[in-house]
Amino acid sequence: MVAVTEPASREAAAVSAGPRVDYGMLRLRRLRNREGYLAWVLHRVTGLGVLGFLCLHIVDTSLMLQGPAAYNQLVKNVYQQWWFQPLEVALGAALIYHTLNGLRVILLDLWSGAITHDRTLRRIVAWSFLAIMVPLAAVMVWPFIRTH
Amino acid sequence: MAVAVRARRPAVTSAAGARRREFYSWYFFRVSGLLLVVLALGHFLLMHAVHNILDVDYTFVARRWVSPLWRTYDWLLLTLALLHGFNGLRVMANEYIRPRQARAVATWLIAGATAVFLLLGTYVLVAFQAPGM
Repeated sequence: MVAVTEPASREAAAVSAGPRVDYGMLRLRRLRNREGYLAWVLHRVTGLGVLGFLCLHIVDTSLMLQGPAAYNQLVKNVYQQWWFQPLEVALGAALIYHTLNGLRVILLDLWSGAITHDRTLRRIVAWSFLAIMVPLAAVMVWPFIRTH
Repeated sequence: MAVAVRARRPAVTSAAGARRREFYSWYFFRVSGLLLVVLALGHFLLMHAVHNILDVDYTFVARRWVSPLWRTYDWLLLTLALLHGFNGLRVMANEYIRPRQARAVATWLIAGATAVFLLLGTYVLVAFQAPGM
């Protein structure tokens, strides 16, 4: 039998308990803690999103070694284009959500009584996310609206 | 039937070694995550809120990189974000890739990608010199 590695987080363990229903690669399971499931999935999805961007960003920043013409051309033709801004806002949203939910995870790890307040914590994450993203998106996009 | 006496595997390859490494990985996520709250959010806000992406060009970056403090900030951000992110990818690979060989290949690819991006980013931060600044 191939040994299955333990899920590294308490969150994943709560999700993976319960009888299994195998739907191919997704491996959906009959969940016990359904409530934290969306947060857990979003944490992974946003993490992957930020990681993917990070790799592209390291490559594009390496253009600095090629001189002003090359770097400025990329920045002007991609990052400063109006059509790219929704992607920038999405990146910011992924980063903000991953950060807020990550802080919630750390709180759950450090304070044993926190799990009874998990629903409240997830609500705080959601509302904080909106409170940060709405003004942040406005600030990011405003210069582009102004010049049109 | 298993043989009654057998040599113990060295701690690096044993299940106990794996548990110890997973514990360090668990710890690393939390510590690096807290540092990244400041480093990553700070970087993002600097580029998109304090300044705007329209202000960012070669000169903007080159001026920042005159200061060794900013280069160090960027390098810490690079290293912690890469390790935090690719470690997360490794955890996901361990959960979703069932065949043992495929899992091992994925882990090596992740390690290789981490090394490549880390080396590239470090090289840029160390080697960059703006002419005449």
